[in-house]
Amino acid sequence: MSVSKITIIQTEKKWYGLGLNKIWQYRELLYFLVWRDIKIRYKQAFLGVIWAFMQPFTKMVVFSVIFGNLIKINSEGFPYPIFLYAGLLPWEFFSNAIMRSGDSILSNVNLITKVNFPRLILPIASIGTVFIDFTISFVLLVGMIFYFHIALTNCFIMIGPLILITILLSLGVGILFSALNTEYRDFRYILPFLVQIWMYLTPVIYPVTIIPKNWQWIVYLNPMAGIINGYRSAILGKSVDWFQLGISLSVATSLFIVGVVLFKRIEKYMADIV
Amino acid sequence: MKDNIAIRVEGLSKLYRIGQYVGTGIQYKTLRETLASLVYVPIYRIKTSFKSLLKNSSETLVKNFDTDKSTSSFIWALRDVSFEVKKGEIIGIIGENGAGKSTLLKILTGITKPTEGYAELKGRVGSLLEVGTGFHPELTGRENIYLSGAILGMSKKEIDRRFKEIVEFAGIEKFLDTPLKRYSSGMAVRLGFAVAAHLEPEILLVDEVLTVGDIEFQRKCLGKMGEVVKSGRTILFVSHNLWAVRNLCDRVILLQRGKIIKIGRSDEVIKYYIELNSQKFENYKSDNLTGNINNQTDMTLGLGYRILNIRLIDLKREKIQNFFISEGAFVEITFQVINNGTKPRFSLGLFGPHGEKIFGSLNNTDDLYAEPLKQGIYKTTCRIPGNLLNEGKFSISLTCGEVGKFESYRYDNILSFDCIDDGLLRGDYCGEFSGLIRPKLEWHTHCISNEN
Repeated sequence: MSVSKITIIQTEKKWYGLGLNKIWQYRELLYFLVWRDIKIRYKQAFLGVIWAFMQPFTKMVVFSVIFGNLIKINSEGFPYPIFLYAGLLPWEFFSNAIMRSGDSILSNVNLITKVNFPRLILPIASIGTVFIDFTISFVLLVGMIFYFHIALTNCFIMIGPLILITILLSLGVGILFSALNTEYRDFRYILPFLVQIWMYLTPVIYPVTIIPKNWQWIVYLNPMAGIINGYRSAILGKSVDWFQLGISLSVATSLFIVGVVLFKRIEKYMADIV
Repeated sequence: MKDNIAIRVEGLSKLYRIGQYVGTGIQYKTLRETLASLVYVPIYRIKTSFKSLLKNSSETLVKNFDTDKSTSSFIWALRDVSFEVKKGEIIGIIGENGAGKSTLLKILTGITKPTEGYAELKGRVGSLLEVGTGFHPELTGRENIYLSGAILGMSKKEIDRRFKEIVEFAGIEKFLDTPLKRYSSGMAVRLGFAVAAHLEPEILLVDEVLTVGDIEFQRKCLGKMGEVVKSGRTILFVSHNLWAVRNLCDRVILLQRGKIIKIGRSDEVIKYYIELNSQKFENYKSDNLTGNINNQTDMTLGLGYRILNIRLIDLKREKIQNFFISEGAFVEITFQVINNGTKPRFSLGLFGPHGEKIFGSLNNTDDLYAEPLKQGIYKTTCRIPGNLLNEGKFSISLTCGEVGKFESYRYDNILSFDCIDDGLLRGDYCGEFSGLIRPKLEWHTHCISNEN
């Protein structure tokens, strides 16, 4: 006799963990949702790649001209474009990721109201294409490293762990935002504005050193600050500030847990309010 | 749970808050309001407690900002629903719109949580709440099959295995690599159903998906459902198509306003449901409208056509109120076909002055009976022959239905008229003819013997 699966439905009062094992159960669906987004994005493969390329490239050029040449922000001895791009690349990934996953629930209403699956899959899957874009723009970074004759040190291997921390932070904030978006409909309009301000609060365009020393700790409260500095260290060969990275990692982890907890609470009645 | 029970539902209830704050209503819908309330609520509370201190009265009505019942009200979409389904049973769920059928399925699928109650389902659950779930117009047919299959819960291997069958069922072999946006709506629906039909869960929850598509496709779907039925799956089937429910289901649950009002064998419950509905129209009297049908009464529940007018006309096709016995008259029904392929079925009932039923007549001698009609406006006439009725007052009832469909709607007293004796058949007889009808019958005499 085979044991058949039993589903129990009741109004759950308790909270049974993060539900990550359920996501593993539905991993095929996760794969298909990512596949769907990629297919749609790169239907016309050539244009899709060009677009992934164009955005960071154009931004880099414009910012380099304004902040590098005209305003002449101190770029710590490195050519401004590469100094900028080393920070811009991960920032683009982060900001696109949180915007997309923040919107993931609302843009998949038809699935939420008709199919049963752990809703956490939606914000996670939405990061898929953002990561592909990141990989494509990474090629530009490699090009720039050669162009500006940047000597790569063994700090470069930090890129791997840095990417993981960025993903963790993006997921945490993205999941948190998607929960907030579903609960409060006007949050959708706050989000782009929030992201813009966030960029200026992060040392993407400028180095942290332009902020007076005794105020610098405020900047490091922003988890992306430590991460961006980490990327700069890895790419440009400066020393890695482990303390900053440590702060970023702990903030990223806490945000992830908070995000998932809030999401799971809202998930219970998501289909009713969406 | 007993071994042969597949689904057990106990006291399932779902409360919705309608009005301003739909959903749980506990939190505000906008961040702005939530933030504002964070400021106002404590201020208000301080104000009222201060006031009550001053007034020394205990009658201060504290308006609760969190759950402001004055701007929203509650509705029980489901109330205390309990039933059991054995393995392999097919249960139909019927009821009017808003009865809670879809809510029940949504809860059993796991899309939304119940407010109260408990349900247990034994076996892999698959649900078909919509045709074409997850379809994306930019992707091709082939890609959409994989996407939709994955969304409905099939693994890639399962989809690979059944790919050919799915394509054959939908009939879209030639269009597999065309983007879905180029498909006609019929093709898209067929594809959606084809994917869903090849789900093989142990428990299947189906919500009114058979109401889409043309007649040919509906027949195909019913056939496929029949196959699924024979395969021994447990099925919960929500539908308005009472024929399908009657043919496929063992038992039927009738929901009304969130409660189960009848549960039992399919024909019993369906009969009960139809009677419940026709009672609504029995009280309809049209004497104040002299034969004109008020378009505001929605008379198209479940029918593919709508009655526009009904009147009595004479041989010259002019509207009349009464007619002579010898002439007879026509009952003319003007109707509008809304769904292509509708086959209307009418029957007229004639009643005497005291409501006695004289006869009923079905329109199956009409040339166009059981012919699918295209959209448009039609007139059907029924000839009441001359020399049939006696003089007196009569009234007509009209029953509207469709060929092949179970439900019909009856309108009593939709026409009333007088039949007037014109004396043509009387000869020299001046006496009274009693009886409701006075048919002209053949009388014949012949001589059988010439001798004394």
